Amino acid sequence: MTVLQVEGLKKYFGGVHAVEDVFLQLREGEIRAVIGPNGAGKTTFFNVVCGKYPPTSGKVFLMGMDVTGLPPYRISRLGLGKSFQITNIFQGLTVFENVQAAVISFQKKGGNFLTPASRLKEINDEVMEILKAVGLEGKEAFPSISLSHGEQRHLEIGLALAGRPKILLLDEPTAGMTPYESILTMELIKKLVKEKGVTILFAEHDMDVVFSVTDRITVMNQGRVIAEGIPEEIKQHQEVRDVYLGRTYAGS
Amino acid sequence: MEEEDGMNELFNCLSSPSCLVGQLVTGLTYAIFLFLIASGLSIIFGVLNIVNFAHGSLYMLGAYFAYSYTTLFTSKETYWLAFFLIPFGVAGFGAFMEYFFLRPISQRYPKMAERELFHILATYGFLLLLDDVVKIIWGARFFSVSLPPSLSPKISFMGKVFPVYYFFVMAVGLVIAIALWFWLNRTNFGRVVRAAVSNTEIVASLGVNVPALYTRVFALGAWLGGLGGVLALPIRSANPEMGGDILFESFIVVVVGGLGSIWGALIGAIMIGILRSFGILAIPSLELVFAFVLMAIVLILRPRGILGKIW
Amino acid sequence: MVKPQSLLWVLVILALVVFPLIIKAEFLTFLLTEILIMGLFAMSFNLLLGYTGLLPFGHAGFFGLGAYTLTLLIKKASLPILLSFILSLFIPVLFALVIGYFCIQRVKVYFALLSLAFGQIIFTIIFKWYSFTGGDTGIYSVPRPVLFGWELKSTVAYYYFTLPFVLLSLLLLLMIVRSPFGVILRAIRENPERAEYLAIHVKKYQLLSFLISAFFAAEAGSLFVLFQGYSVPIFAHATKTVEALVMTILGGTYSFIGPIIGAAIVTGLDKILTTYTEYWPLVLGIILLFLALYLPGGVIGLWEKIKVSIKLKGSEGRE
Repeated sequence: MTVLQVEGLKKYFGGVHAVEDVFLQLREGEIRAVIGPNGAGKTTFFNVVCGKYPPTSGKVFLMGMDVTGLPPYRISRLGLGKSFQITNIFQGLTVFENVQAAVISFQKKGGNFLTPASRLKEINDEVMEILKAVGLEGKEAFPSISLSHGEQRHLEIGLALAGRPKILLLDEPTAGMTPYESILTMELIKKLVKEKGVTILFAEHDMDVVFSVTDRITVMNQGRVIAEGIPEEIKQHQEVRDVYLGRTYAGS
Repeated sequence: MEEEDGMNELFNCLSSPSCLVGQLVTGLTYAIFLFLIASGLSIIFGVLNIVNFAHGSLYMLGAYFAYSYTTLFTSKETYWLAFFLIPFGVAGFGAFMEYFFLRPISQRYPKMAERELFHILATYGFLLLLDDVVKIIWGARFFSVSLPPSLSPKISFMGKVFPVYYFFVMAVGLVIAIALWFWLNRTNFGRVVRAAVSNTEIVASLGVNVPALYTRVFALGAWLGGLGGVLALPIRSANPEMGGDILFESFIVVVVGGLGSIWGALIGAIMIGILRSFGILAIPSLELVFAFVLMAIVLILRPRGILGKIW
Repeated sequence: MVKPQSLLWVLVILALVVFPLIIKAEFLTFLLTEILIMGLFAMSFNLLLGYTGLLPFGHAGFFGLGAYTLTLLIKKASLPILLSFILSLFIPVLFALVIGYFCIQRVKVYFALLSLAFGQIIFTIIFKWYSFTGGDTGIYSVPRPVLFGWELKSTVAYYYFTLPFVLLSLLLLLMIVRSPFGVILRAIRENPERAEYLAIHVKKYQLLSFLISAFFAAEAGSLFVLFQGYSVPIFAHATKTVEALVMTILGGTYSFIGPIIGAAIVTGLDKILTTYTEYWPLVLGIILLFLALYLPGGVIGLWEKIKVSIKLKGSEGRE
């Protein structure tokens, strides 16, 4: 089943063609990486898909539903989760409260003005389950800013998971991590796909990560998709090599 | 009944050249005072991201310092000396405020929301403090000085007679606006300031002492406010409420013109100044509401203001 | 198992209930009434500031709207006092719906400025509309409510009218803040952008928070009018908002009872100091500077720090 379908997506900011005519199709359970040099349009592409910007033209379908131009709070409720490039957690809240807010929202309990939140067993249980899944069990009461960078990234992913999304968008999930932390994070991602059937679309710069974990790779450059295929194909692809390596030879 | 009379009065004035000119001149003069305060406010907000609630009080300080100076030293050139020196005194006070109070707050609170909140608290604290200190030192009366002798001769313009001073004020305003534009866009210091606004970290790593830069910019803003006070003294007199009164209007000007824009502050000040002097004729009771309504409309429809940009 | 904290609160409430009967100082009862009312106003302000992360500079507009709605209904429409009181709680919320809708479209400083603009518009209209609102003179001789034929003229009587309303309101606020709705508000305070990606419609929650706080601000305004017996335009002026801001920060913006503690301190200091000096603003200004530099968590924040260091010292002692 096609989880995500992007057709003819264009995003222009004034005269800047950040995203130009992108087509993409993701099957359920797939792990897809989007790679490309800086400025290739990966982040803008992600931002349009998750609803931050409406596209200039083109369409986005989430499990067959047209979600083009819907704001983030609607798209996330329809099954799309997002994790950010710069760690974007709720810093003044504890680890528990971070996930609690997400769970409350997804379980549609946010309209409850009167019951103490601590008494809602379903919410509390779900929060603990998520914390377990991302390896933060035991740290619920810690202020979220006291976590290590890697742990904060896992919390970040935990937040994105709270809505049991069908598809998870990860914008450079291993940015700033040590190799050890990167391995842990990618193991986590693989586990998520297997156990929860989550489809993953992520943007990455770290090639080791990309080639070890993904099913298919999409390569972008200057707003366009220049190649797509399985890792072996991409490694051999001439234009991809030019884009990544070409600059080293250009001067010589 | 009152509204009808007001509208009649407005029409009469608009059709009579001398009345029209009279209101225009007073409106534009007031606009220059507003512009000086608003441009200082705008620059401080644009560069340091601080809403300086004490800015009206700095204007007030300028007026009071000028009053004391001119009453202590009476000579033919007193006014000119005051005009050139007092703003630097106010700038010095501004630097004191920034260095000892606002800078520690910026350093102590990494979270921007907290920083903004405590900056507001601190500048408001200065407002309260200065308004009372002025009462303690000078007393609660109104103080006025006469127009400087070199600028009191009257000119006749379109059937109405004004002291040259009014035109002098307008000229000063224009000169300052051009000077500020020049400073910001053509000097090195201005370039560094603009760079610091868009990317503080890079500028700092290039060796620029950003905190010192901030202090200097704040002092510049204070200088502008102080100059406004010195200029306003002969026309408007000094009193403990003058800071608070003009502060709200300055906010309106800054919002309408655009936070961070100097020409915007000038345009906004002229708009509010003219609105004021003609609005007083039309519906005296509600002219202040119009100013706030204008502010609300701008914030709702175009928060950047007329010329505002994030530099 | 009764938590020691809950026991403490029960005792405090009991103390408030019996206070005027034990301590027969009318002045203190008067002071306490004012503290309760201003405390409620500060709490309503903190719902937006401390819990939702919004700084409503025009918040006093709703305090003033509550006060003037009550006054005008009594004086111009000749409605019974209690009915007017109930209406004066809800009519300002209608204004808040429109004002709040526009304000939340903007963030941070622009929200604060737009809120300020609306607040000052309300103030100026009240101030200038002499024929309807009494203009800058205000409206005087507002009677006290009559309960079961008994007019609550005395200070003690009005204290017992105010107390249940304030306690009930505080209880409601406490429940709101602890509820799932409250958790989401705090998440929005911390990171509105992230919250949008968690299916949270940030603007809806901000508007609801705005309406709730406007309701309690209007209630405080109405209670205040009945307390003082008059209504003046300055109730809606930005300086009133600043009173709430100072009380909130002084008490502690991240704690629930902070604003009330702040209200108690500020009101108490005001009354004491104005008998000795006319320069209360000067003192207040110095307090603000001190707070901004050294005491961001307010009095409650300081208290928390002291508790922590006592605990640490205690555990050191045992080793």
